[in-house]
Amino acid sequence: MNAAMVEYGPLTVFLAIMAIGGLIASNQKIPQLEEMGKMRRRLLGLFVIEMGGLAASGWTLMIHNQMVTGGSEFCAAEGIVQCGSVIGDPIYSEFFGVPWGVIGIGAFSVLGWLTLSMFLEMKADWAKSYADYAWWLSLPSIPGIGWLVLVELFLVEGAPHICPYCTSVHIALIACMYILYTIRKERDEGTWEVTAQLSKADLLAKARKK
Amino acid sequence: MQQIRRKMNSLVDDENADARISSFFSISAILTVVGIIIWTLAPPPDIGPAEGQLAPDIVGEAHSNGAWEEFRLYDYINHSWTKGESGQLIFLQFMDTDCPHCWSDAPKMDDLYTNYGSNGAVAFVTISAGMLSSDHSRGEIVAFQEKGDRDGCYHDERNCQTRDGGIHDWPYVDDLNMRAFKDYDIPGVPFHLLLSPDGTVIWNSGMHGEGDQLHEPASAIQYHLTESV
Repeated sequence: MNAAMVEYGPLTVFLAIMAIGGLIASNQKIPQLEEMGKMRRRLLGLFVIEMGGLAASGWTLMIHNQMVTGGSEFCAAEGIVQCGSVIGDPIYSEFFGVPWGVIGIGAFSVLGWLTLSMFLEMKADWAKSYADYAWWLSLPSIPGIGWLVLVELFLVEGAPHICPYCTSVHIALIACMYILYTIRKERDEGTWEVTAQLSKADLLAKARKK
Repeated sequence: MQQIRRKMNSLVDDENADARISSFFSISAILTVVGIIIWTLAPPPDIGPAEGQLAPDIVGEAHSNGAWEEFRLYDYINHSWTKGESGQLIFLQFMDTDCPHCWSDAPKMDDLYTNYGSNGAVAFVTISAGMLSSDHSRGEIVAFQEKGDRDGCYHDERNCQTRDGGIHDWPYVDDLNMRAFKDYDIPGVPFHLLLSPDGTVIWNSGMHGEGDQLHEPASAIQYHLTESV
């Protein structure tokens, strides 16, 4: 397989998943989702982004595993935009002995569980408070991202380096935080609707279609 | 009426539990798929000090040729080396400048280096740990290595200059923070390991007791230079 395809193909897929999640969570009109309420769309979009982040974290773990025993064909090792110097760094690629990829997988799994639980049972008493749990859980990602950007730009050997897969995970985390912030804000404003409130005209149009 | 309300509440509780359990199983299924992909395409390396495992990396500073320099064990390793190819073995010695057994191990290290290190067949690295409760310092490590005039070696009882053997010309890694010592799960010092050129532990002194034909480091090196590699 083409080396560039192996290096950047998965990155494109992960970013595309995150972009789709962002689109679902946005206020953009999507005909296929018009029956879904705004809040439900936000939760679905959030879940899709989290799964994109989980996949990207898994990929960084694979690169890490390969870097320990030499080079990795999953990401470039030369130049400014590369993973080798960042994920392969003997000191900064781990947090108390745990690879950052494992931490990412763990974080996105828990966030994904909270989000999917809310999505599946929005009517439940606990659902609204789960948005708070997810929000508080996502907060440690701010110092985490800050530290890793600092590592990429100043601390790794041959700095600065930009690790594209690490950056995609950071983007997913920031997007999750933004959507969770929006969800909590809208919930506090009283717009935690369970189903979409269709207008009479919409209902009529829907009936005519059938 | 209260009974009905209680029944309704328990029904709601059950429904809530269903959503969270369904969610849990869904995430577990996704994680299983991710785990299988990772294990298939890039499984985690088997790292450890036992024979057959990849030796843990050692990162820090080492004293060599009169100066402290950055050190990384994996810089010595050729990950793409395969059995049968030529390559340099790596001999690791874990020691403590205050340990009496390490004191007597120093001249043996001289002999090993003369026989196998000076000709480039084996790379020698000493990792100086701060295992014992006595005083340690980088100055003491250098004094032990170079037989410098400094009190403090051998449980703080002897001048480092008085140890047997000559000056050691191979790197001495500062492991006073015991990081490598813990990574290698060293039971006591001195402790020796021999690595193949790809970093695999091929001899661990802790796994060859008295009576074993590979008990002595020299016999282990000789065996692996002639028989194994």
